[in-house]
Amino acid sequence: MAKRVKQGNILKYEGVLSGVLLVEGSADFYVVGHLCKEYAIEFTEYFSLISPMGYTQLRDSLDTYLDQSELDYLGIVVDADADLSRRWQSLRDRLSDNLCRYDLAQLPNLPDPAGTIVVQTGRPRLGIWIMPDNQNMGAVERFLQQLVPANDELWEYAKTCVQSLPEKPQIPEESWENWSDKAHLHTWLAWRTNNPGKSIGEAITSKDLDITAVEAQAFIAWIRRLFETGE
Amino acid sequence: MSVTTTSTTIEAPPISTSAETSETSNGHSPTDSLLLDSLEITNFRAFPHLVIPQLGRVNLITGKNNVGKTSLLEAVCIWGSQGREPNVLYGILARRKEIDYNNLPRTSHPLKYLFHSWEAEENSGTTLNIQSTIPLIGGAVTIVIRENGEALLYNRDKIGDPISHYEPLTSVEAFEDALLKSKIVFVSPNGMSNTWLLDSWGRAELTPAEDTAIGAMQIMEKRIRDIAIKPLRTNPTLLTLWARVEGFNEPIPLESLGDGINRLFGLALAVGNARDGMLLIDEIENGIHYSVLPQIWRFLFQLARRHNVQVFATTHSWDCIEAFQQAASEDEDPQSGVLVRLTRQGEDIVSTIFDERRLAIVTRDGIEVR
Repeated sequence: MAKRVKQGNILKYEGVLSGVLLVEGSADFYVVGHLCKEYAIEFTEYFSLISPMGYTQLRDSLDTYLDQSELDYLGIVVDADADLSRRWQSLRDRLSDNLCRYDLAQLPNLPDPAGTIVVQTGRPRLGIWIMPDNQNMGAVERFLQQLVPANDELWEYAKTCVQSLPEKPQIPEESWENWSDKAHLHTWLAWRTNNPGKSIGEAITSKDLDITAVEAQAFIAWIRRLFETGE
Repeated sequence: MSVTTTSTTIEAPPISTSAETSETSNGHSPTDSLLLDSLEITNFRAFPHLVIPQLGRVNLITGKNNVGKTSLLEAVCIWGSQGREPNVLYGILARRKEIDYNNLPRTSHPLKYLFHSWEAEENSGTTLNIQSTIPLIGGAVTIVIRENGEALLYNRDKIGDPISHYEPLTSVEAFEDALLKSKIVFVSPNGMSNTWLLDSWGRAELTPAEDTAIGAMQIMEKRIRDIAIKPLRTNPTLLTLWARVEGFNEPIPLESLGDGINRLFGLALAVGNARDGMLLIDEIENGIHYSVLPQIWRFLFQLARRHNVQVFATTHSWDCIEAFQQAASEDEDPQSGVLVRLTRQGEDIVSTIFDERRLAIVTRDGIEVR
């Protein structure tokens, strides 16, 4: 795998200049990197994988990335969090402003469930994936839940543990589901027999998570459609 | 295509000249006094039609080889001098060896080389147009070559004056002098001519400009104390520049102190000579170690403000871009630094503007803008 660069708070696998895949945070960064690797996609031949750390920072830097020299492809992976349509609207507004210059009419009212791809003459080919699945609220941890093997004994138990915590974190109501998705996944990973305390990336490589799940296949298909096949 | 003298584009007569503007610029915000806040170029060199919608006090121009970075500096020369000085036009051609100083072509007008795709358009009548979009100070410079080979100049105070085939341009020094009349200094990748350096130092001596130039060299070599003009040891009729360097008991020829120090010396004198005008620097990083680039940019930003100079520099260097961004972010005016990237798009060259907000993202994330 290509060399990982850390630049300030930016995570980056440096690839070709013609493509950039921006992801919202470090979890997305490692999930995308490891999934590509498991699907034998030499992704640095297609794009640089970059996490500018956080949705706001990603959104603010979009126009600058779009003006990178020789850019032909730009992919964006962000979380739906509590409100998918609000996140989608925020991206549409940004991408159609006078610096990003996508035609609002080319940006669908709702994300494509298979992952959105926008082709506009004179602008880089644009792909948008909203975690977990372009249709529901949540984040990358909700996406990874779909990759937990069916009938895993400890999965349900981990959920019970998180729900019966004696003290709940002091967070806004709307963040609760996201929080419990993360807590649930990491609790489960903490108990994996071979190697307790696995990171998300390791869990993909070691096949603790099932990378052949349809949800993972859908994501990889979007990556290929955006960068590889051009269809 | 047939072009007559009445069909060219000329802007409305200017209300004030640049000299008047700079006199009244005190008390305005820094960008108020910029000579160029944007630029539009038609049918010049690599550019069929180039629009640069935004410029700052200090501008860094990037882009691949052969997209026209130097041509853009030349266009600024022509606009800044309003085409008034034929030696500016001929000097631009002579720098590139497109004309021989003493042997101008007789059959067609030598200025044809300034036109985009001049080969295809030769003898067909064609118009070159360089204009700023500031109506107050602006005014287009338009040059028309007619079918009979005659070249005509239109600017804010000339209507269709013929430009002679045969101007007495004899040297690069004549080009430098012609630019200086319009308060423009063009620093080529190899620096300024020896004559120019001697003359400029002669003017700077015993004035505050002396401290500025020595201060600039001290960015690289702290031991430099003073500069003086003295004859060469081997040929007393030739004058050259000498440095007093701490720890040495006799003067040292400035040229022996290395490319970087000589470049900095030239740049410091250049800013002073460009007061209320423009400083153009081709391949600014030439001869300069990356580690001192931030100090050099800081120094240029400060001097550009102090002397009311608008700076245009070209570069291929990432270190140079990072240093530029750093100095721009420290400058009190948040709009002073602008990076202009030129890119080929089919037959056209287009510009992309990176203002200070975007530049901060460029250097933070390592985004390629060269």
